[in-house]
Amino acid sequence: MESSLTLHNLILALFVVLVLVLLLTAGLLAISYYKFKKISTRQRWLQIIDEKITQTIVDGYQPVTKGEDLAALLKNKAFRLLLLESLVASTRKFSGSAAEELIRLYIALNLKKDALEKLNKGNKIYQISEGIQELTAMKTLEVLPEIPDYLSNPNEQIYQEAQYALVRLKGFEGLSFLHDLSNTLSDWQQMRILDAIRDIPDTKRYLIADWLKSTNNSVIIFTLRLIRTKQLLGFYNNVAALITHPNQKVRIQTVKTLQALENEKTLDLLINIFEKDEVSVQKEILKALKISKNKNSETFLKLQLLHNQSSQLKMIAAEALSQLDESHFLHSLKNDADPTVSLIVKHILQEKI
Amino acid sequence: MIEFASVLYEIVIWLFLIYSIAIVCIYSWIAVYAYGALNQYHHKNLFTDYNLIVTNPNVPKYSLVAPAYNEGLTIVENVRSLLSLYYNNLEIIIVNDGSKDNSIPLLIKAYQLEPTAFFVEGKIKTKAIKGVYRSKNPAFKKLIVVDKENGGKADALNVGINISTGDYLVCIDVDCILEQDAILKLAKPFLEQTDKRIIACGGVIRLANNCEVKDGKVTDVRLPDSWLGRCQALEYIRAFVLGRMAWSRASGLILISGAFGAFDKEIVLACGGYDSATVGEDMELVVRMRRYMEEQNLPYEVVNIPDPLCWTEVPESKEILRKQRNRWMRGTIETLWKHRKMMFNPQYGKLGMVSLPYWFFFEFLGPVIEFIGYFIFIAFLFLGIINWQFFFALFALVISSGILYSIFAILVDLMSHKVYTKKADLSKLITAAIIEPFYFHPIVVRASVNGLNHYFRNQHGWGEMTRQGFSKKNKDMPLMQRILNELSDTVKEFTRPALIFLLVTVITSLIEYKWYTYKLIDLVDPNIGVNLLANNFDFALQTLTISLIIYQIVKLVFPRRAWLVLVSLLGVLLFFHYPLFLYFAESRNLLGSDAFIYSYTETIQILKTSGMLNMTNIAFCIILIAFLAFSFILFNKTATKKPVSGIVIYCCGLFAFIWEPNQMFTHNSEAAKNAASSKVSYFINSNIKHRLEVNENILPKWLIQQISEEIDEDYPFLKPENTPDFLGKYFQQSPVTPNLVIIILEGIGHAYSSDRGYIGNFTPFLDSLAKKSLYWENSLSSSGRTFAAIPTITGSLPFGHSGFLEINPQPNNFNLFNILQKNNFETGFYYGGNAGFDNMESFLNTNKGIKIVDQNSFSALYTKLPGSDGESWGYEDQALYKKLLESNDLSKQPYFKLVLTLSTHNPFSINNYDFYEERYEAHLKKLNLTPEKIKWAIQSKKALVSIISSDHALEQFMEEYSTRSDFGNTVFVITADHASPEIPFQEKINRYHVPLLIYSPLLKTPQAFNNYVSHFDIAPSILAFYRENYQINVPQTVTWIGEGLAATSLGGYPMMQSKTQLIDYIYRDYHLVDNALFKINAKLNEEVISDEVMKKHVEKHFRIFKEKNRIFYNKKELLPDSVFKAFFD
Repeated sequence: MESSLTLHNLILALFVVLVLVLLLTAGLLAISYYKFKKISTRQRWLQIIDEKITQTIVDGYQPVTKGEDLAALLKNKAFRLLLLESLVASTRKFSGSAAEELIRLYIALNLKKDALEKLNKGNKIYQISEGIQELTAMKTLEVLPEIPDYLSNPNEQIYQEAQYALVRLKGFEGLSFLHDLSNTLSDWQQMRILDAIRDIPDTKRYLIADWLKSTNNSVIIFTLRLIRTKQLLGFYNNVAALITHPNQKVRIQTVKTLQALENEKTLDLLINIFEKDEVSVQKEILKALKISKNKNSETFLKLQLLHNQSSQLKMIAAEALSQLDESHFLHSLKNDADPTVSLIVKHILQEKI
Repeated sequence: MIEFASVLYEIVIWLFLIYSIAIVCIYSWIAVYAYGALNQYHHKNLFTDYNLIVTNPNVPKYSLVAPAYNEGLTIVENVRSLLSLYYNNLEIIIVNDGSKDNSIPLLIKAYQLEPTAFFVEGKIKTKAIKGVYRSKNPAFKKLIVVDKENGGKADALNVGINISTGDYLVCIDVDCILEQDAILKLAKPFLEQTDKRIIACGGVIRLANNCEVKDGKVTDVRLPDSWLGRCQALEYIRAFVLGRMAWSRASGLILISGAFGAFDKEIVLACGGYDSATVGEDMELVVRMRRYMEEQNLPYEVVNIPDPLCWTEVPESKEILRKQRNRWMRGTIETLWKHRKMMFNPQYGKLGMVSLPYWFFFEFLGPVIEFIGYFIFIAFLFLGIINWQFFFALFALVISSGILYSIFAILVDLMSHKVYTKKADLSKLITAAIIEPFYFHPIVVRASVNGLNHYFRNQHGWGEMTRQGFSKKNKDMPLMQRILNELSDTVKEFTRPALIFLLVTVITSLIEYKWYTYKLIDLVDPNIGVNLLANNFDFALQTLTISLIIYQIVKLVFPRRAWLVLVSLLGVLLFFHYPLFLYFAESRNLLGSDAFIYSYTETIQILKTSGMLNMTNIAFCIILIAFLAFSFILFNKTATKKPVSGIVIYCCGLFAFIWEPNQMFTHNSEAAKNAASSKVSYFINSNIKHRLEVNENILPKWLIQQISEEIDEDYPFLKPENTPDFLGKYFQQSPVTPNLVIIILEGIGHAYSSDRGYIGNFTPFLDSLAKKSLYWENSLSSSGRTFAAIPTITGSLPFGHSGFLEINPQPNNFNLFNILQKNNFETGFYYGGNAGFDNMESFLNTNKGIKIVDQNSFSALYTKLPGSDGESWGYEDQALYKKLLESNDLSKQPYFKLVLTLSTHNPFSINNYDFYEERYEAHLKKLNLTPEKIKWAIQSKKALVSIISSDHALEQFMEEYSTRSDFGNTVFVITADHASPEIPFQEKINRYHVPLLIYSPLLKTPQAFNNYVSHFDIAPSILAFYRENYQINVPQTVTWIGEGLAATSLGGYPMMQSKTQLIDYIYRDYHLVDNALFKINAKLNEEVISDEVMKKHVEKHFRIFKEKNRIFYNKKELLPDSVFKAFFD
């Protein structure tokens, strides 16, 4: 009796769950249809938006007239957000007057209000970060005082957008967050920030030396990249001091940067440090010598090709020698007793078999 | 009766339900978690400017490796597509894996390649490289083509890795079409890494079938034309958009598709590259990389990005699809097996505790369980035990849940990626979601199971069978070393079947206990379950220890057959577990050597009437045998690599001989103790003991306990007849010799036939009659079964070895039949069943002139008991009494009639059940029992309803009898053969505690007695009564075991529980059971005592009885012929 009751209850439970599943399925199908419709509408809106953006870029900003489709659609919140999204994407593709015209359109349509709403009223991480991105792209300077607050936000996405926004809107000065940065700057973020820096004011250059002494390795690496990119030759000695930095990644970037700022001391510095460092740094040193094409490195390179234990390093040494126009020497090694050397040399000479 | 198969059905259904619930939970989690991951990714990358890295000098170098085998038709186009990828710091390595077509010449021509010297830096071992080609044209400077000997995809990828110079590897199938920004998007996660190293990254793969492709780019996305293709499109959405995104977010991803994935080269090299020995190299590499990071204790992540980056052709023919899924399954098993060390190993974090177990239970076991499910369904269909309502509800739920999940995937994909945005595509995908469970899914499941099958056939990773006896490899070794090697091989071969044996023993124990919880409500006690498991496991270990020795011996003689002998032995033991515990559940008796006492016909009758011999159970047996055979065959020809686990099992087996698991929990009742015991162990031990007893002469003398008492070596039971007339004083003297009717009621215990019984009085008529009779409250039967009732009651006869009836030929004996017949009584035996059962007929026929009325004497006018499949024990009690009344010739007096009833025999099926059920209900209310007694009464309802019916039949019989002229001159002796073992016992003695009353209109006054009496006492007292009051002639010397109803038996009463179990002995107020001594009180309740002196004393008396019994049995003579003949002649 008890057992059949249990089975009966089980069947009942199964039917209840089944009905729920079927209802959910029906619900999902309805949502799918609704979303499909929304996507179709979005496609239509995008056409209208593209037309307006193209018109603005080509003809300059023109106010929206009452008769335009756009005028009616602007009352629609979703449309305004899509328009804002499209404008931000377009400003990345265009610069100069075209970008300026797009910003005029942004101001005229009061899309700033929508972006600010995201920033101030958004309760989701993505809304805040999107708000920062949009206001930054549209150069909304009035938002600047609020941005530093987001630097200490625990969410990676938000504080990264804040870092980028500061640099985009304030230039080199925006990098002040580097002083007390405790998080790691990813390579991606470094590239974004480097890309956003246009000029380095002379009065602020002293900051660079401080960053090179940072306890945050990613700040040092970023600074080395900045020095390299902007060819800040004045910091050569500061950079050279980092050649013995305990962090391997820092040392690799140091070698790259020294090569970029190369002077008469660089070759000796690199050769002297070579034996003391590990293979990954040695590899970078040989690559630096390959790029510098310094004739004085010839003996050192030959030594590495013939006697270094690492085939990888032999290979780069051979490549460097090839850059030094040492093909005669290399040809002479084609039949070297050491098959590795022989193979490497043939490889470098791109010898046809 | 709840059928065993039904319980099994329920267990299986619950297992499937639990598994299904687990799947639903996992997939619900995947759906929710993936949705979150997709949203996160979408919002994070809304404004990502990938141009940042297209030409940036600070970006790492990527090496794209594409192995190609016979791709001549498309390779040139595909390479062109790869060359147009947006990423500057990239090298493209095409590895021609020994293609038999013209791939290389086509590439040489198309890209102006020339063979060049190439220094291969990597050190991963691969097949030889035939040549490396680079282009003379600077436009193709990124391209390197490698021609190598064929070695498989993994080997080709390893060559690519060796040649590559990049920081990261992108491994693809050359026939894939990549989105132009694929590398940019893959590179981003690597560039974003901070504290955790990204070791691998995958992207979404979409179907290229039917898509429009121009210049190596997908220009118009269309769904495949075939439903097979569309189902795969749906499957890819589910896998990539939901599954991998969820696992990626949870840091549990262990599969980056071989068709497209990026890896950190440094970690790949540290791990040794792809494993070319596996067919699932993509998954294996990721697992190995993760394992490496875990072992190095380095923080890492494996990520998947939801952007559709790669387009690939999927098979649109079932044959190719099956091959592909077969390969995937093998790859999964290989990886799981290779990395089994990590499974449930907390040292490996989420990888060991979540990801690998998920893959094992759901990705690997999923298709296997589903496949087994189909077979079980067919088996249940065949057994006819499917509850269709339940089945359809569950089936519909499983299918609709699958469809729901698919539709959710479609919706999420629609919202996030806009790949299939055409209205028609959407409706086609939804249709695919509906038909997929019926069309595509079964193909995949079957292919996966085939993959499993192929895996085991090829014996990958499972070790090789090293069964070779003193093989060649051993020949040159020293003897000791050879022996050790041989033993080591034996243990290694033995380990897997041993583990299966132990596993199936555990499963069987669980099923056994589950079955008891259905059938024997009083035995629902987890302690019984634990003890049962421990006892069965203990026995299994002991068995294995002996089996190993047997295996080694057989192997030496028949090396090829040894395996078969071993698994047959283990299989048979496992199989017999089931009938033995089912027998116990039905009868509450442990089956021992008595199984062989019954003849074949008797055994079949027992099985048929109990309802166990039906098609369902036969089919179940066949399925069970098939399952056991499958379990062992699956692991045939396999041996473990090391003998350690085998040695551990063997040592445990040795320990099992000392360990007494029964002592873990003490059980109050005998039934609980028996339920917790190993039935197979009991069966084997009982048979060994029985054989030794039967062939006692094979035992050394010192093993047989000697008796110091003087025992007559010829006729130990022979004694002068001097039983006092105890009954005479209670009867009026009749002018003529009174008739005698003895009614033996089947299975009516005192517990439910008296107000003092621990259940309550369910025989109201018998009880009312007792009050008008001479009634013995403390009466004991001589056996726990019917086999001893007739010889004991009619002849106070000893048991011999398996009951007096089993002795062939029957020894001469004095009994009520032949003594009363000698005194001109008309004698008859009335039984509703087959008189041949238990050899009753042989016993009766030795006494010529007894009218035997059994089932063959009944005409169609009488009603049989209802039975299973038409088989029942015979005629109901009502019919039996009617037959007795009708066939009794009143002109022939005095008479002695012995009646043996049937209605209350297991399975207690009676006619007019509803009528008696109502009487039972009404009676139950009237009894006003305690809650405890009500529990017992409800538990044994079916048996008690039959008892009510039997009591009612007796009432009607006595009423009818009372109207006859001979009634006033008839003595009725009413007792029961034993208490029904199917109704739970409180104490061991309850089995033998039965009612005994003597009723007659000649009685002066009713009287109740409290002394202990036995069935052995009935015949001596009856004959003494007739001898003293009616001067009938009785023998001077007799062989009675009993001493009459008046006496307190000094000699004690032996009692046989079953035909082979003589372990009970009553001596004064002590009850000896095996090695335990119980003290009995005035109400015939007992409790165990530890009085060693008394115990030895009782044991001595019991031994004397057994010795007498032995002498009698060996000689097969109870009394001298001269004594016998002298009386009758």
